[in-house]
Amino acid sequence: MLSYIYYTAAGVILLILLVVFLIVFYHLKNRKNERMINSRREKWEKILFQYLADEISLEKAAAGMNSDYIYLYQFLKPYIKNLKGDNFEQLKELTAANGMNDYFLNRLQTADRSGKIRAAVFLGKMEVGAAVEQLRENLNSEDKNLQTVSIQALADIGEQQLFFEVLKVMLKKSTFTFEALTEISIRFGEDICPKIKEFLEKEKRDKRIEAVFEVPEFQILSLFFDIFGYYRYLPGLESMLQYLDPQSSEEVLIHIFKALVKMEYPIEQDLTEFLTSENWVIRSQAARYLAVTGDSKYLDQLYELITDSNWWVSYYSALAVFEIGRGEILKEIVENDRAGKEMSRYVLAQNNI
Amino acid sequence: MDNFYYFLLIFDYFAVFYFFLVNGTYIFLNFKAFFSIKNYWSSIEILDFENPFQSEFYKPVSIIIPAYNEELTIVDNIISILALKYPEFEVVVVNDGSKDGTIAELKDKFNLVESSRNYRKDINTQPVKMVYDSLDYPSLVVVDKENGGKADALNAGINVAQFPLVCNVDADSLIDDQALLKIVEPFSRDWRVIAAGGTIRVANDCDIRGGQVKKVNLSKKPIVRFQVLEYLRAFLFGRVGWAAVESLLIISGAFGVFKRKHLLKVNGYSTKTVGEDMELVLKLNKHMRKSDRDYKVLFYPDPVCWTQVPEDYGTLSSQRRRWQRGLGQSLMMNKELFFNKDYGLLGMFSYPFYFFVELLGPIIETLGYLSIFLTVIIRGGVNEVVILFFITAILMGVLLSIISLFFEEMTFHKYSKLSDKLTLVFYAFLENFGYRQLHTIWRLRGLFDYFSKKESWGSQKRKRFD
Repeated sequence: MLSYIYYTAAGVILLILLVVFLIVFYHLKNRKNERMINSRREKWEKILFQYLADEISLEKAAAGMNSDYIYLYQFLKPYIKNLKGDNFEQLKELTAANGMNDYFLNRLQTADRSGKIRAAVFLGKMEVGAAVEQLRENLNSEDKNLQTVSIQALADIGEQQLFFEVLKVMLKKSTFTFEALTEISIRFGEDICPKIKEFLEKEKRDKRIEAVFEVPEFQILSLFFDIFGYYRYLPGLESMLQYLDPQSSEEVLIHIFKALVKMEYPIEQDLTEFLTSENWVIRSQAARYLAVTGDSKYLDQLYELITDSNWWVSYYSALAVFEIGRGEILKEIVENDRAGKEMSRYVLAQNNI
Repeated sequence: MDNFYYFLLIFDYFAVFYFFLVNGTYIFLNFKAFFSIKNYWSSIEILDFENPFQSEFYKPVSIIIPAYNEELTIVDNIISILALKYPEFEVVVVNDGSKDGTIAELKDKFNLVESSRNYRKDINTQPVKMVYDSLDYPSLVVVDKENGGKADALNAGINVAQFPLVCNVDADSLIDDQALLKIVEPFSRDWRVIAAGGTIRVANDCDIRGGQVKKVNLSKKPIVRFQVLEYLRAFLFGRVGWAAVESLLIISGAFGVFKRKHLLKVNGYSTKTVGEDMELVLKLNKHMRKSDRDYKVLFYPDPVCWTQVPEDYGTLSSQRRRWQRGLGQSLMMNKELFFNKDYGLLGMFSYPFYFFVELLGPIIETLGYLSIFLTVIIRGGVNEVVILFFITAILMGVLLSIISLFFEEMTFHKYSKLSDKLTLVFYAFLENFGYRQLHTIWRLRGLFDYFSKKESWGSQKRKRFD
């Protein structure tokens, strides 16, 4: 017994010494890395600024930034994130010319798990088309993180030919929320809208929407209408309005109204039934849409909805009344202390009245 | 006398078994935490967690701040929260019948008027006197209600909240400006996530400007340094480790995010315990397992909330007694989890561990000290085995503390000076001589409070952050 405890105590002492050593070692290592990165940062920053200002050539900039790619990626991250337009195109040319793209293309195939993930993120951000095939293979990876970053990279590259394939993977194999699905889908770019429109027309005719994706139809439709809304894709309006029917799925109706709000496009269909829907989200989104289009046809209903028990319905209805150009109605409610005065005052205050 | 000595001997064997069980579990949790933190660290290095929030497809959040006698800190706290980096959120401050000038301070600083919101009583609470909107800050709502305790105030906040996610923040805490983005991101990425907790760190003597911790300093006060170590241990290996085996039983009331719909389903926080944060997570786990739905309760080491810890032994004692009482109440209110295989690892391992080690640990530890003391009296001294065992137990505690320090240095390195880290190593030794025994006594008294059904929350001292 005694010897066992001796061994245990000795083992623990050794471990303590080891951990203290590691704490000191990591501290010194981290400080050394910081100093090294700072010194390189100064050099790289100067080259990058000169290059972006067209003061030095691409070749010269590439020659000055062609080593330590992992650190270089750390340095470039904020620029990759924030540069837009011509400056971003310049940056893409630089990472192609200085060997960074090739380095990460190679790592995407040969590195360990975290190396592959880092490479996929970089190649996606820099929109390197040569990575598409490898990223496509990664869609079937057992490693969820690698699969996720590959999906995102394909979206960032804007590989529209693979949109439906990626979407199927996202729907069937991932645990993405609806928000994440939509956010990744829109990264593919606006040109996916005509493809979606074509798909909707064909598959609705054949009643195969559910069969293609193996998830409930309302999920797909909601996602597609969100994408139409985001890109304000008016040619898709007709396909979308086919579903603007009180008999449609409530989820689909909500997403149609959200898309209509973004499109800010007036429609002919009667919205009365939606303003009186039992689902408060539908009521609120219909009122919100009217706040955007300013259609005075529904003024009486909107006036009544200001006193709706749901805050959002009440808010969007008061807002719609204001946006229709009838702010005096809200003032009158406040002045006469009528029901809905708090909301009317809130909307007026929001508009500095 | 011999019989009694044999009894002590048997207890010693039990203590050895207990020692290996506890420390074995802690080592296991350390291993899990190491890989979990490493994985988390590499993923935030690689992934851009801000990206989903630059689009419009994110989940808006209602931040609930319960406030009771917080006139000194409440305004600074709200201003710092209103300045958080997040695309869409509202701040719901619930004045829980404060006796000081909290509500007057709020009215004065935020230009409050009667709110447009109807108070929905989805969860029963003490009567609400008034709900206010701020004319200066459209995303600020203040609920003024009768006193009902922290849980009741949180429930009132949940009732008023408009958004699908609810984040609870203590009125005496500060959140890092990107912490909300980091803690909400998994809710956008994974539909299974129903709750997520972040790390709580000690803000005492840190350099704080504009409601943000600008430089992390190690306090010179020993009582604070001991607590720095405790918080590092509890969060960097305890919670990360338990979360890694999907058995997390607590998300700190100071900083946690939940899906509102699930909070409503379990009827919010229980007002029958002072450990309402733990009780909620236990209840959520029960509810989700019963409904047979896939779900996740996450803990992240990086989204950081900074809190002021007590600087005097009286307040600290009162806090720790309350925590122990809350632990007992929460565990007992959910005792059907105890060794219940329907709840998997949570029921078979995590809950019993909390019961035997976290709840009853102080009794066993006290008996351990008593046994040594009695052995000395009966035998006129202690044998080598007992001394060695005692030393090993202390060394093991030191090892666990400094492993947390190592995790900190390996990843977040908030304490930039080497001298601070070495000081904490020294305190990891020091805490075993006096502080640890004091802590055991506080926890014992907390247990006694639990059995004697004490109900008060206890007083808390507040001071301004800067």
